[in-house]
Parts: sequence; structure tokens; C-alpha cells
Amino acid sequence: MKNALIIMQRELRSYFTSTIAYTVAAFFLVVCGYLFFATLKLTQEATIRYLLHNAAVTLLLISPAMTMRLIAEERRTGTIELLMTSPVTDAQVIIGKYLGSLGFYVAMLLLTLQYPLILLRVGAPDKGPMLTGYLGLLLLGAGFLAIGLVASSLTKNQIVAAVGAFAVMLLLWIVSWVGSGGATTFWSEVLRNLSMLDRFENFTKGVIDTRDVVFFLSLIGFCLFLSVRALSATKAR
Amino acid sequence: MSSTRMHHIELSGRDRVGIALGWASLVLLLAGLIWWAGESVLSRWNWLVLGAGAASAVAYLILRKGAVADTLPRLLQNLNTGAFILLLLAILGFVNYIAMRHYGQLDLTKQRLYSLSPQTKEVLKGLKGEVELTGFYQLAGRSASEGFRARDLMRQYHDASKQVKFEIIDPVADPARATAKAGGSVYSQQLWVESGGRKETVYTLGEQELTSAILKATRPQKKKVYFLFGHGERDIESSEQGGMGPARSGLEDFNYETSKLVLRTVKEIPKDAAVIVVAGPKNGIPDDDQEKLAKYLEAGGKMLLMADPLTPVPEKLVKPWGVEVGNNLVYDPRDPRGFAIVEKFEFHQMTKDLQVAYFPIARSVEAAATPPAGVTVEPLAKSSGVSWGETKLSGGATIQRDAADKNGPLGLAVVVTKGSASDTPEQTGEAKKSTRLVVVGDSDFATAPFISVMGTDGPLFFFNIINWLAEEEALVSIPPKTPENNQVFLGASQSRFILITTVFIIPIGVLLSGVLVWWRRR
Repeated sequence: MKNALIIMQRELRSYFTSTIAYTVAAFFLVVCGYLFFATLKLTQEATIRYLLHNAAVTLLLISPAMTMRLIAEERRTGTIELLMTSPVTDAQVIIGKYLGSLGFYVAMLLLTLQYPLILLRVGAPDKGPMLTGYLGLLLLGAGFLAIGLVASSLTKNQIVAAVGAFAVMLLLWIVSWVGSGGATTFWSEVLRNLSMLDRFENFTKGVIDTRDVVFFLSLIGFCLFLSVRALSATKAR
Repeated sequence: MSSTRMHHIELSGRDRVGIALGWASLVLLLAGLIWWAGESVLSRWNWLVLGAGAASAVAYLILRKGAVADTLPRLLQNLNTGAFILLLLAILGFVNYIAMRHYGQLDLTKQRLYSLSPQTKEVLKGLKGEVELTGFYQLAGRSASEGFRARDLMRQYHDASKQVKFEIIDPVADPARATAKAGGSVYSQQLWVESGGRKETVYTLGEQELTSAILKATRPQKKKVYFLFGHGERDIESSEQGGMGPARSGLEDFNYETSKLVLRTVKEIPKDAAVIVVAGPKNGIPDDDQEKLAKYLEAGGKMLLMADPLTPVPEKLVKPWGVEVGNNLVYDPRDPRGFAIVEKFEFHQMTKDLQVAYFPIARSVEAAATPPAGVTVEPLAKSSGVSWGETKLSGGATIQRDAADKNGPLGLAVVVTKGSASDTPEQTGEAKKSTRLVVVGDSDFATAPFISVMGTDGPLFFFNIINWLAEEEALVSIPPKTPENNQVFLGASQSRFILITTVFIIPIGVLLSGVLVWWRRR
């Protein structure tokens, strides 16, 4: 665990010294800020439910940029050799890298707390859905980052990592659309259960459902496992 | 070659038993898990199979300790990554499958917007056939929030019962599907409830409305409420002042059939009567008519009797049931019109969600000091402590508290039960034979215009009484849940401040920090 924490620290430092990270965060905040302002003007409702949906879509677009570097960069520059010869296990590397990206994401989320604070000032929003909304955003982002990590651990090309991650996320995001045309059937249910959009929905309403939490945790666990295997496969070669 | 032979030779009886147990455990565990997956509950026999599987697995491990220790590491090494991933997927799939079946929800909205009331859950539990919900709502634009509310509500019903299927159709975005479903053009903002060929439409979105619609669509027979007629009772056709038209149509919304009942034309109360309403008979009820009603009550009838001041009391319907109707007018000096005000209802299933109601021109109705044997009389509503029962009712007399007037609180409504005193829904079979009688010292509260006044609970009281009398406890008032009004009115300066902070200051601040970092590193 200590090794993983050291890697996490290293990763966090590299985030906060990289201009790309700041640009990504600024982009995220501009888009969310504008959408927050526009929906507040339009609906005149003291709720972050609309913002959560918008933020989630924005996240879908930018999170590949947050994770594409993680392993691919080490592969490209060859520093991966150093990592592999050092006395850390693959799992420690992956967990450390993942926690690093998660830390950066949480920092970004903290900056979005301005929106609920503004709402609390100008209106009387229901605090419960804000709390669950942020929990949902945290789990959703953690899921996105995990998918991005898998993509990054499979290639040394950052663009490929980003595009691959984006494709998978988009598919998982809208997978329920196939089934939403007709009535509720078995398969539309299965697809709905796989859809990150639908899993995120409850959180935005103010409801924490154990099914959604289990889903996101399973997704994260599975992706971390895949990343570890991908890294080990490199080593074996 | 020689090693395999040696291996064969080494197999002892103990090993053979071990191998057999190993296979048995695999089969048992698999069968047990599939069984469990097929049914939602873990039955005792299911437990037994799983337990036997686990026991034989343990026995196998003990008996074949050596062989297992030999092969396990090699086995793990040889399992390739693909198989491992598939295995993990299967495990996670199974975990999620279990999670789907045994889940909990924590509703953190202030009003518990996403939790169904116990009444609705009871109704959904009792569903025999499939119920199809179709919402026609716009999911984009200004009225989108109503669409989302509809979808959330339908999903809750769907989650609570497998019998409920739902879909939402946006008639603006997807007119083809809407027309195909409706067989013609269809307006937004309505929800269809279909079951067994019957269809109910909900226009006002809410749990009460949807649950009632489901009840209506799934219950073949309408219960019949008879309104006594011919003794100067309130008119159920009229919506003018004093008419019970609105109350009647309200009952029809609850899926009751309503009808007038003229006692002169019948020998006894019709068998299909679920409830008899006697709404303020001005002229008094003749003895023979009273006999018919009394006989009905004695045989387990259900009746609401509303007796207004200055009208003759049908004694045969109240005396034997331990109810005393006062010859007075309950006067509350705090109300400019002197109306009796109930600020806190007595606790009963009919009144538990009610708060304030007016009983415009009311007389007192109280339980007798000693009720007849086997009869329970409970108060439902009482006037306030400052009110009194005015007894000088002749014209011209000034209304003031005299020595002869009884001081408040005075009873305004009582409920009488005989037979099974309990009124829980589970006991409907037994309760069928029990008498239920509600006596209210006023009928104005159930007539126009008071029945339509928002903000007081008089109307709800009336509908709750009928629903309870008709043993439709599930329909008894589900308090409506509307999202709180979270409107924000932004002033020009506030609006500018929000725009500048969220879109400019903070993002640009982050960007500048990035530039600073880059500058430093350079």
C-alpha cells in the first residue's frame, strides 16, 4: 500500500505541474459554469440536477484526456522499464496511478462546489439531492477514469488511449438507447442496467440505490484488474 | 507412461470417495445456485442442497489434500488471462445479479419524493395481472421536468412490482410512436394505465392519482355508494351552493358508482350497496324508512349519516349505536361566521393525515356515556375549547354563551364499529360482517362550495370516510407529494455576479495557475 501511495503522490505532482491538466480543468469549469448559469436563468430552479447531467456529459468528453497519459506515456518514454525493475508490483503501480488521477478529479470536483454554494445563497435548494448528486458524480468519474486507465495501459500512443477510452465510455453511456425504443423487455432491462447514464440517474434525483453503487464499484474493480493484467502482459514479453 | 500407471495404482478407496465427493459438490453447488437464481427466496430445501454441496467440497479438500496441493499452483499458472477475465466477469455479473434482487434505496430528498407510500405498496403487492403504464410527456423543452417526474414515478412503481411495465413517449419528438400507441393523435401530459383491456387516464401526476388509476384499471367491479333521497337530503345532481354534485363526482374519480336511493320503492337496502350516505335529511326520515336502514346497519351495513342542526334526528339510527346528537349549534367565536373549526382530529385511520377543517353549521355528535355491549364508539373530530353549543336556536335570539350552553370541546363526528373492531386491511374478510357507521353533525362540509375549498381538510375527511366505510383503506388519502417550490428569482446584479464568477473568474484562475506552473518550470 505504501508503494501505491508513493506512486499516487508522484502522479498527483505530475498532474499539478502539467499545463494539460490545468487546461482540461479550466475547460471543464468553463463549460459547467456556463451550463449552470444558463439553466439557472432558464429554469429558475434551485437545483443542480440539470447541471449534473451536463457535467457528466462534459466529463465523458474530457476524462480520456485525464487518463491517456497514465501508462501510455511511461511506455512511450521507456520509463516503464524503470517502474518494472523497481520493487513494486503491477497492482501497486496501477492502484497508485489510479488514485493519482482520482485525486486530480476530486480536486476538480471541489472547484465545482461553487455552484451548490451559489444556489444555497440565492435560494433554498434541497440539500439531499446535492449530496447524492456529488456522490454520483464521484462514482461516475471514478468509473470513467478506470476505463481510461485500461485504455492507457494497452498502448503507448496517447491519442489511441484517449479515443479508445472515449469510445468505450460513450458506448457504456448510451447502451440503453437500443432498448428504449419499445416497451420494457428483458433485454432493454439488461442494457439499462449496463448503461452508465441510467445508473447515474438515481443519484441526480436524490436517491442512493445499492444497485448503482455495486455497479460502479464492479466496473472500477474490473477495469483495475484489466489494467493490472495488461501491465503484467508487457512484463512477460 | 510409467508415472501415469503409478498414479493409477496409487488411487486408494479413500481417493475414489474423494473424487466422487468432488464431483458431487460441483453438481450440488451449481444446482443450488441456479435454483436460488431462479427463485427470489432461498428456501429450506435450497439451503440443504447448497449446504450439502459445501460439505462435500470440504470433504473433498480434506480427502484429496495431497492432490489439490500438487495441482493448484500449476492450474492457476496455466489459466490464461482470457479465461481469468471471463471468470471475473462472470463473478461480477453474479454479484450484480444478486445486488439487483436484494437492494436498498436511500431517498435523501426532503419530501421523500421517490419513496412510495405503504398504501401504494399494498396495492402493488396485490396485483394479479400485468399493468402497463404509458406516459405521454415531453422530455425536452420547458415542460421536460413534468416528463422526468412522470418517468421517475413510473419507475418507482415498476421497481416495486414486476407486474408493472412502463414506457414514456414524447409525442413531440416521436409522433409516429405516439400515434401508433394511441391509435390517433394524442396530447402530451397524460398517463395511461392499462390492464386486462381496461384503460384509465391520469392527467394530474401524483402517487394518489396513479395508484387510484391502477386500482380502477385492475378492479373489475365498481363499488356502489347510495345516497338516500326523498327526505330533503342534499342534492347529488347540483353543484350550486349546498349541492353534493362535486362530492359525487369526486367519489366517481375514486372509482365508485353513485346512485340515489328512494326507500319507498324498495323493500330493503340493495345488496350491492357498499355505503349508504344519508346527507342532511331536512324533513326527517319516517319510521318505516328508518327501520329499513336500521336493519341494514344491524346486518353489517356501512353508513355515513350527516345530521344538520335544526333538523329531526333519525333516532333509530343513532340511539342503538350509542351516539348522542345534540340539539344545538356548535359556535366558534374566533371565526367571523361562527363556523366550528377542528384544529386537531382525533386519531383514526380516516383522520391520521388531516389537519384543519371547518364544519360550517354543525351540531354536536358525541359518544353516549355507556355504549351498548359489543359496540365501539370513538370520536373523530372535536371543536375547539373556546367554542360552545348554542341552544337558543329560535330566530332573533342573539348568539352568546349561556349557562345552558355546553362548553367546548364538543364532539362533531364519531365512528361506530361493531363486530370486528379492527379496521386493518388484512381483516377484510372478517370485517365484511361488521357494522361501520360514521355520524357527523354537519353536511355543509361535504357540499358546494366547501367541498372544493383548497387548504382545508374537510373534503379529504369526506372522501376518507367513504373509502374507509367501503373498506377501500388503500384509497384513504395518500398525502400528495409535490416537489417544493425551489424557484429562484435572480436580480440583474446577482445574475451578473454568477455569470462572472462561474464562467470567467474561476476557470481563468485555473488557467492562469497552469500558465504560472509552466512559466516556473521553464
